[in-house]
Amino acid sequence: MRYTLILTLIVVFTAVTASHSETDVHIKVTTEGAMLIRIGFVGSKQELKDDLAAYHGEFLKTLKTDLDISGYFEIVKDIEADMPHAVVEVLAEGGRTDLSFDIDLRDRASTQSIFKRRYGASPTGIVMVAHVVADDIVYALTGRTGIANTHLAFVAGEKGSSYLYSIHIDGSQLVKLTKSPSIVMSPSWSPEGKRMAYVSYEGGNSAVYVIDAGGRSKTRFASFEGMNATPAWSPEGDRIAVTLSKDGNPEVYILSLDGTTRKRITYFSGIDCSPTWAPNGLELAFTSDRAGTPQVFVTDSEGLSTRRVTYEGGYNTSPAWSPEGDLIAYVSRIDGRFQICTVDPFGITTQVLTDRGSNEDPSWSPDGMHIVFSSTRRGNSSIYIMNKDGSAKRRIVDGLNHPRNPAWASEPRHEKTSQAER
Amino acid sequence: MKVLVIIALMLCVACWVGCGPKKVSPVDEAEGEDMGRTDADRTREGELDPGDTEEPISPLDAEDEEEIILDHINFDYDKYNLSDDATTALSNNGAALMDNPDLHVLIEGHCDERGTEEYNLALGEKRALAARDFLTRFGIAKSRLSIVSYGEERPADPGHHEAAWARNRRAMFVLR
Repeated sequence: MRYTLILTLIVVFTAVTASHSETDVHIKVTTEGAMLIRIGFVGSKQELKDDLAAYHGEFLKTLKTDLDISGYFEIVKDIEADMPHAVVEVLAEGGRTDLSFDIDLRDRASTQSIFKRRYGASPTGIVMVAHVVADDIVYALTGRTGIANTHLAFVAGEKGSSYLYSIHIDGSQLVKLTKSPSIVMSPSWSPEGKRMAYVSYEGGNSAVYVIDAGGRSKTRFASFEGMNATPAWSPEGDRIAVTLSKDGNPEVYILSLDGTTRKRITYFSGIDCSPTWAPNGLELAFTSDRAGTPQVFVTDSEGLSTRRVTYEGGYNTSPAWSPEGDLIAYVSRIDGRFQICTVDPFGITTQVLTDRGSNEDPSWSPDGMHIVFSSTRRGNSSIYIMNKDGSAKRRIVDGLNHPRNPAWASEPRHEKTSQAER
Repeated sequence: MKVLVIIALMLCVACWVGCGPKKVSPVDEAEGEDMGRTDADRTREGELDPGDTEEPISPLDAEDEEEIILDHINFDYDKYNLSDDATTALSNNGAALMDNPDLHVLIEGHCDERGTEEYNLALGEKRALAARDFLTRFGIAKSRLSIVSYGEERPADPGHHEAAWARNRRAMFVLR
């Protein structure tokens, strides 16, 4: 027994040293200290004709974009000179009816295969298969679930007459979820990504509704007297935290999904609103002006012990707790404009992630690597994603009227489809 | 006794500054709710084109109803406390509601476009609540006062400048 343990330790130690000597040379350390995995693509040895060449090109383009967006990789151009950590070879076979892609992911130094798989595809489904491959590569090299097949919910339309939408992270699959124009805001996904809670004024005053991801069925969840706002679905899926003013003041409550229990967790005569759950479901962050200006506080799910986590500036609102638990994103007023920032849950270290236009509504990717937010950085409000260190900002939603209030779905919705396509 | 004197004084002040509750006929004459003011009166108040030749409705046909317009109140940036101007206007509104005990009011809380939508929803709610709390202390039954917050969703002025923002930070009183 002891012998086995020692042997295991030696193996682990060797592996660690080996990986260190490897990484010392090649891994690029960004200013924020995140390590990027260098990945290269082996040039195709195939002579591809007509359709197959086009399919191969579409697949590669999508795969490279996805790996770039994932935030884990630096895609190198020359696999000889740039010495990447991993190389990907993509072979396309078949045609219109029997198309498939063979993926060989290899460690460059040892040339050992990390995985080798064949993915079937229809010519119209190439992009979706490329997303699946991107997430498989992310998983194989990082052990994390990627974001290539995730969805966002968001609101668009003129103020006062807007709609709730969902969209694939690649900008396709736009679905208008609500049928009639209303004041709509604050979507929050259920943890399994099949439903969302949101606020609508379709009944005259604010109420929290729950709608399925396809927009087919909708139920009214909370419509107490006064405001019913800022729903936040709990990580276990059994509760929704909301802001209600039914007792005469905006306070944070936790309602069970079946409507049987209701717990008030804030008690202050000013504003308490915008709850967001810690991933363990034991704490919530929220906005309160109990210190004289709106600031982010953290309390336990019983509301018994509360601590302040933001101190810089006179306006810090809209907290969003990361799925990793280590950071809370929020909106801060800096020089009269609004920026996305992060702070650790104890309020020790803050980081400003945006500096152009006004930026609102931070929401985390399911892997905790990215933040989606709305921004006026290019004029009208639109929806952007960035890495959690503020790098690599890119616009996700185009062409709609003032897209805002994005919420990143907790899990890929097309898991079953992906499995079938493998 | 003291209270009565204070209320009387407040009403005098309100009349003197001339921002008391305005009793105005509905613009829509088809409703038949005109109280028999002359066209000249209404023209002066900007309700009629001078060229309007419609016959005035006989006072005998009119129902005993007038539209009361309650003054809205404004707030400072990111604040929901009531200014002196706001309490004056609220006193006038309260007096008008006292005089018309059948009236119910929807108090709308609004914000300017700056700041986050979610927080502005709560801020608008606090502005509406501040107005309602004043009116209930004034003596208006809470059951006559509903509230709604529209946050930054329904600006009175679509502009993106300080003057528009100042106009948009308000609580409005809609008769029901």
